[in-house]
Amino acid sequence: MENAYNQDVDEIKKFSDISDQWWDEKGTFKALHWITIPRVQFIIDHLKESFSKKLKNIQCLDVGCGGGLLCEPLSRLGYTIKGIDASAKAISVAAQHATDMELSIEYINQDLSDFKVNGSKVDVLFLLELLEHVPNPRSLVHDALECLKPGGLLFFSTLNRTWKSYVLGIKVAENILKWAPKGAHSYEKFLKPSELQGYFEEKNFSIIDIKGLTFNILKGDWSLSDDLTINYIGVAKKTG
Amino acid sequence: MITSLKKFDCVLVGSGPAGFVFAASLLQKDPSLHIALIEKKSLKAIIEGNQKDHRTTTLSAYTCDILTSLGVWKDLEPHTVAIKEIFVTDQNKDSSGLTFDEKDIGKPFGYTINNTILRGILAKALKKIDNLTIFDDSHIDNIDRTISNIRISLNKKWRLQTSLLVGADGRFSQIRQHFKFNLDSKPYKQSALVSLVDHEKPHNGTAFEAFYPEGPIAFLPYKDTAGKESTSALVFCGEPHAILALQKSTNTFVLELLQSKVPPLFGKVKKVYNKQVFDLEIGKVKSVYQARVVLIGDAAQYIHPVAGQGLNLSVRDAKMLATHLANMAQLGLDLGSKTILAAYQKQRHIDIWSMIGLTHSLVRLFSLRNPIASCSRRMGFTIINNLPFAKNFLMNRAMGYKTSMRFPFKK
Ligand SMILES: Cc1cc2nc3c(=O)[nH]c(=O)nc-3n(C[C@H](O)[C@H](O)[C@H](O)COP(=O)(O)OP(=O)(O)OC[C@H]3O[C@@H](n4cnc5c(N)ncnc54)[C@H](O)[C@@H]3O)c2cc1C
Repeated sequence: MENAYNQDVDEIKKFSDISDQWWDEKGTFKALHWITIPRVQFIIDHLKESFSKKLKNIQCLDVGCGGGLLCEPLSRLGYTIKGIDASAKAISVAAQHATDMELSIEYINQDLSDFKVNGSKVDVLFLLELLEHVPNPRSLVHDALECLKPGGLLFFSTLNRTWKSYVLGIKVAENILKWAPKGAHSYEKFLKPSELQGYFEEKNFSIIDIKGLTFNILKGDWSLSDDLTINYIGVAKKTG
Repeated sequence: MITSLKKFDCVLVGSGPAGFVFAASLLQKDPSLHIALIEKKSLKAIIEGNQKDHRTTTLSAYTCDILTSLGVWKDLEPHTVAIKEIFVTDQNKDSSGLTFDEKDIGKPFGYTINNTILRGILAKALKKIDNLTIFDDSHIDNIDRTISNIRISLNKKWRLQTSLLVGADGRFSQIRQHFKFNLDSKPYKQSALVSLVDHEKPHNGTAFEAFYPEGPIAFLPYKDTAGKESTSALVFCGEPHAILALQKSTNTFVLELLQSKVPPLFGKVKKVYNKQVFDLEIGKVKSVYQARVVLIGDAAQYIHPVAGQGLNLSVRDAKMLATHLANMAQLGLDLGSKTILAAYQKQRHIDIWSMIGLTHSLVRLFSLRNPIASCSRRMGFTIINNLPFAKNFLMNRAMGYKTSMRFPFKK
């Protein structure tokens, strides 16, 4: 079911119901905790390369911040980051956790379209593991791009629509390994990098780097790779 | 009183080899971190050498590389002896011995050093590290863990708060006990008598190890303060009551016994002194971490001294944890989170298990008394001696470089 926003009400309820588990590293969201290391590695490398101003003057916005898994490391490093999420429950979990960790992070229960109207523009915007959960990813990307200051960066991560991501991302991860909540993903909503690139080009943006997130069975951990067939993370910037 | 609480990124307990390498490596990689060290002894006493630790430790080549990178090797080196040759026999039957020569690899196998001197130099170096807040001569009387931090009360006062507590407090680790880590341990029904032995001929950098069913006997080349090279450090393992009896017996008896066990190259054994006895046990925690706590060195696993590898293994734990945490701090990640600590444990898994497997199988194999086992040991020696590949493999292991094999270990 969709509402007036670019939101899927059932998806939001699904995540709200399990939001007390956001920080349980062995619980429902454990896979997100594991991929945090390579994900943040990718992000920090690009932030360091693209910005030379003081960290606290770099304004970041995490859209669909959930329990704050990304906001916390960035805030700890000194970036100014705000997290918004459609689930009020997730926002209160995130805010409580930040207080416990003695971090000051602004969390708001808000949709990106409202932020676009009311909020000030940001240097960096994150759409991580979000595109596959909204009714209209194309308009989400376009809204996000409008929130960026000149020279700003947009980070995205999602699942590719390939037979491999179908088998591994849904069948194995949700049903066998229980790495993701059951029913968390639906295959039709997965996006190919080429489709995303299309959305960006319509607004004169382009993907400047993209990496796969791959699970190494022998080492038992996640790392960045050139294999985009399952999970990938990328960054886009205005062309020219 | 919570008001006087000092906050740290990491609190380390124990200033032994693992503690030193951890603190020094972490602050070398990331000087912006705030680290506290808690040591129950006074560092001044350790520096002055007031301890009665008469052990001699073998530092592997890789450990020496780490100590060099931390800037302490230049202070240690004058007190060390390079091991140029290792001579191993089964029940002292020379014909079946195995000889490792430094010429085969182009550098010494490792270096021996008196433990008290080693600890003194490391303690001195710790005091010089900027950004390391030291609480020595201190007693931890309470620890409290919440989801976001650990608080530690020292000498009856709450003093420290940290997101990660590192236990490098040795075999009897208080941190391990406090958090009820799950420890598998098993006594070896062996004790070790450690002492110094003066002998007639210089050792010329030769280490000697003989395997007996009761336990191994090792002679490590030693340099005394006068620089004289006709003293070796003895590690004599055997059944506990026999070892205690040996500690109490007359010098004439011990000398006669030793003379019958060591090869002629050392000449006449003249004097045995600084005797000390240690109980031998193997132990390993099931998991080295919990939320906000991680164990390294002997606190996490302790092994039989048969291959002289306990300290070397501890130092590798410390180095790898420090490198990992420095990398994670660069990403702003919560150093005490289970995800970060689990990633460290995965990196250490193979090295720790293979060292446990190696030392444990050495002790087991050589304590078998039946003729077939004895024969296969001797054949093994002959084969290894004649197979350059196998010898190189063993030498690399002893030096701490090769860490990619896994050995089975049964309780
Ligand atoms: C007979 C014998 C011979 C050995 N020979 C060798 C060898 O040749 N080569 C080798 O590599 N290894 C050898 N070992 C093993 C080696 O000694 C250990 O592996 C090594 O010392 C472990 O270092 P560590 O830093 O983990 O612990 P430790 O050296 O035990 O240091 C622990 C530190 O923590 C402090 N501490 C303890 N409890 C507390 C507390 N509650 N609060 C604050 N501080 C505390 C202690 O005072 C100490 O400073 C031998 C061991 C034995 C028994």
